[in-house]
Amino acid sequence: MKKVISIAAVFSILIFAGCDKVLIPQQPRTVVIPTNDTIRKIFIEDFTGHTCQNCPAAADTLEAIKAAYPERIIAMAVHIDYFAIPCPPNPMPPGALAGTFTEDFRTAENADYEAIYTSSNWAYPTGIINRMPDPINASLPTPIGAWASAAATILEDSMTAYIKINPSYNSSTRVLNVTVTGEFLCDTTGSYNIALYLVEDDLHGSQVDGSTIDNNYTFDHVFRGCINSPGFISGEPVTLPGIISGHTPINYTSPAFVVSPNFNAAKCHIIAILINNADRGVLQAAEADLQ
Amino acid sequence: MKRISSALLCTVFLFTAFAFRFDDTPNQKLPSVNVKTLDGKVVNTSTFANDGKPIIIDFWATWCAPCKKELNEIMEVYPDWQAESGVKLITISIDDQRNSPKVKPYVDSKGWDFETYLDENQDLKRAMNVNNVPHTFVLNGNGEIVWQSNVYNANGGVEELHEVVNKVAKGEKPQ
Amino acid sequence: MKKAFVLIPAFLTGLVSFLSAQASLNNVGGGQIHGNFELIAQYYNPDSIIGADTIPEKALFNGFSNVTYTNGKFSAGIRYESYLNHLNGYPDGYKGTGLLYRYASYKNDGLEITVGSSYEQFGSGLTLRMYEERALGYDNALEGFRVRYSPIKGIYLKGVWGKQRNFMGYGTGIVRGINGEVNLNELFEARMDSVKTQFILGGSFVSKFQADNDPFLVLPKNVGVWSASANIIRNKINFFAEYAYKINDPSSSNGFIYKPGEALFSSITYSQKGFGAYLSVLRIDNFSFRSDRTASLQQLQINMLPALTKQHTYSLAAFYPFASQPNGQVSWQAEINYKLKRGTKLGGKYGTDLSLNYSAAYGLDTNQLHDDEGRMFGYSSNYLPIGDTVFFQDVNIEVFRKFSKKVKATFLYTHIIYNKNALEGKAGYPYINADVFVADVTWSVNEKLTLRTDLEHMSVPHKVDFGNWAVLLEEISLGDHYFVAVMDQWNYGNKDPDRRVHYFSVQGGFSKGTNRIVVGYGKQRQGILCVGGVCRLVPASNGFTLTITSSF
Repeated sequence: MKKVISIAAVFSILIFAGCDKVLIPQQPRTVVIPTNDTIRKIFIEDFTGHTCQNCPAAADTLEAIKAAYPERIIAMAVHIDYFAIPCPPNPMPPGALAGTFTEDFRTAENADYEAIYTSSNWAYPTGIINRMPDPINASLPTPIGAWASAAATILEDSMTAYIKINPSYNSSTRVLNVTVTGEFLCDTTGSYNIALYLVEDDLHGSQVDGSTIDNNYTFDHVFRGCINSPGFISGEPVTLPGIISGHTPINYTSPAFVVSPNFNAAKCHIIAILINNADRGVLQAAEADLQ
Repeated sequence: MKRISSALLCTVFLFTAFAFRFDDTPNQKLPSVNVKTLDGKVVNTSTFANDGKPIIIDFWATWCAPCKKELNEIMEVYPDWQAESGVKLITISIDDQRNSPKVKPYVDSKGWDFETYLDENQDLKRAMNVNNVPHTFVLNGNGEIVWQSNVYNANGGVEELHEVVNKVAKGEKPQ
Repeated sequence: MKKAFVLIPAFLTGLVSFLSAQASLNNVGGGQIHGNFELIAQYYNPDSIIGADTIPEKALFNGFSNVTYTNGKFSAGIRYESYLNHLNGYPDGYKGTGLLYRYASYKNDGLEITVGSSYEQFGSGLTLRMYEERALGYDNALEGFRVRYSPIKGIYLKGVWGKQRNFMGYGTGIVRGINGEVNLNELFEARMDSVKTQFILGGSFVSKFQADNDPFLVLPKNVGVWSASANIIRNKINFFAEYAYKINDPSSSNGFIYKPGEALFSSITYSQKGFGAYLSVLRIDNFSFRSDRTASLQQLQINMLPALTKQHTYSLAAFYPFASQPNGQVSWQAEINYKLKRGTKLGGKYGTDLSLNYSAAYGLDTNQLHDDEGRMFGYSSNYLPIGDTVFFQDVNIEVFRKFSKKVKATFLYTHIIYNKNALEGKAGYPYINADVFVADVTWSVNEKLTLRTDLEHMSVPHKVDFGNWAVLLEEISLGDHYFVAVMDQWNYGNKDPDRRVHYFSVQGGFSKGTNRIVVGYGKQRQGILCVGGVCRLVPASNGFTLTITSSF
């Protein structure tokens, strides 16, 4: 009987230790607006599609995280895989009007995404943060529910480098030249790439949202293509010394890029990311308007 | 087509090679695992006994049509088998909680006279390396596994089992 | 194509020699080594009409082998798994090869301790059920310690502490649980000897821990679930009920609400010779319970909520399967099995078996909450009335009759109502009303030949979803070891004339003892494969399949 009592004791300890009852779910927090470029920023790729019914919720989550950390979250919506295929050839979502869901926001770089991440087997919506496994659950891709937590954790980390985008865009020839400057903030080695992406805001089209269809949905941060390595998401190497020290400068100039007339230059942005080629992880990101 | 047939031949050849290999494996004892009776009592498999006579252990599930076919066929001849060799048939249902409450009504409605146990957590299934159901084992009087089959053969599979049991009862080696 | 055929036999040779080596080792130092193995290899032809994708590897492979060592009270085992690369439609997390399942266990005097991987179930599984379904790619094994202890007769205790398997790795959350079961009749044997009624009481408590750093929400790092159960058995009646309660557990599954969860499962059966009746009810309210709050689909589930529907085995009857909805559902099932006596007018010479089954699942009756309360608790729900949303309904009757020594047949009619929107996460589909007829006739021609003919038809009005189907299956058993099966599944009612396709396939197999080899060639339709509470979409395919299973 003693045994039974001791086991019952363990049991009751477990009961009291095993539950956290939450009375006020909201975290107390103040939004801090940064004043310079030399702060940690993170890059979130949101993989989405217009017939993916849970994807608008993911876009809302992303906006909430952006609002919580002004200037520090660089978001890009990648329309990819089955749910991003226009209709036809995909079957129309039931209840859709004829002639809708014809938009195609997929890009030439999608094949590269699929080759690197075998995204054709993912469940959508999903995302990747800094192209690394999520720091808490080690998941890659990272499910939406873990984005905020992962972002908060990474933003507490110290930074390796900062970068700044200096675009020069000729609106008559639509030619874009970009230089990226910055510097490393710690001693390190290795090879690093800069990738430059074009994204466009305020695109309109049809989107399945839960059990309804929104025929005038606004798509933001839509990935339009890679500026300095078309067809690939890897970007180009940055010239750096073999041993990188605390103040090694970053100076990168992209080849000239012609912005397609199908894109509205006034709504376009440029995203730059600094990639550590050893693990494809993103060390720092930056964003600037095209014009 | 040529390629397909040669690949087929190749695999069939390999297969028969190891089929013979396994006939001579030493006899395994029944692992000792807890299962439940249909009225919720915990029973350890080490208590399975039949006075030195053979035991058949048959893994099945309520959703497995061939399993039920085989057991219903055996049920019709079971009294004869018992008279002949004194064999006891124990059925182990691997149904999970979706179907395990249905086991007793099913067994009773069919009028089975077999001992039936539930292996909801599939401990016994794992311990006996059962891949799929049906899977039938024959134990000799010392509780050693002397024969097993993981298929229901519509052509006299039940009769084959009958012969195996009779041989085992006489202390002979089944095939 | 060529490569695949050279590689498969080459691989087989390797495995066979490995297994033969194991076989001769069956007796090692007084202990025994045993195991089993299974491999499935499939070669894929792209087929755009049926929606079979181009597979870059052309051929895919799943295989595993269990090897167990037992010596008296000690046992240990491993399972080697290979996914090179995993079969099309199998969960993507399964990559490469690994020894993810390995354990050592020792049993003595009512105490059993297992370290490493193990599977466990508490009560009916509402609080904890770790299990595997290899065919589905479901495996949430516990990685840690498991203790089972029976201090005195009638008391059974179980405890687990560990992480859970997540595909080829382990989840980050920690699961701790304890379960006790008391059989009153066994415990108080002397005093309750004359009591005919059996009482078995149970209780469990499971808690999970997961770190977080969410900037918006205060997430509970520890979430607990408790349950109480009773099983009362008297003569022909068996009653079981379990109630489980979960504290706030905001997660991706429930939309990060802090509402407590509840689940109630109850079943009652009555049976006597020739007659069995069964009734069960399951109410689920916000009861998804996983060791990672962001996990989805079949990942890292700690508990299992059974689907209370008939588990159909015929192809078309299983076309629209049901899976429990963890966020909220009321479901019930009733079944009557009856044997018409042999020699009677209705029963015929050999008797006839009847089985009537009815099941239904509805949503909960909920009130959406607003403002701060709504953000926190989401909704409130009532036990009665139940909600208006029908998830699923199935009424069916199955008749089995033996006509003569050589001919027997099963007939099945089922009417299924399927809410595709709710169950598959789709939008805009009307309810699918499917009527399925099955006739399955087995004719033993002689001692060496048995024919089984399975005819199935499904009608779905208004060409909804795939529309009507017809299936013909002819299975020929030859001698003691061979079988050949030919199957045609014809989607003649598809609203798109181009997709009114015959899915034709042939299978041939050989089996002896515990060895079984099956080769197949043909088209497979897209289908939903369900076992337990988990379903998986298996994409359409066209190609060659090889399956080998064995145990030793």
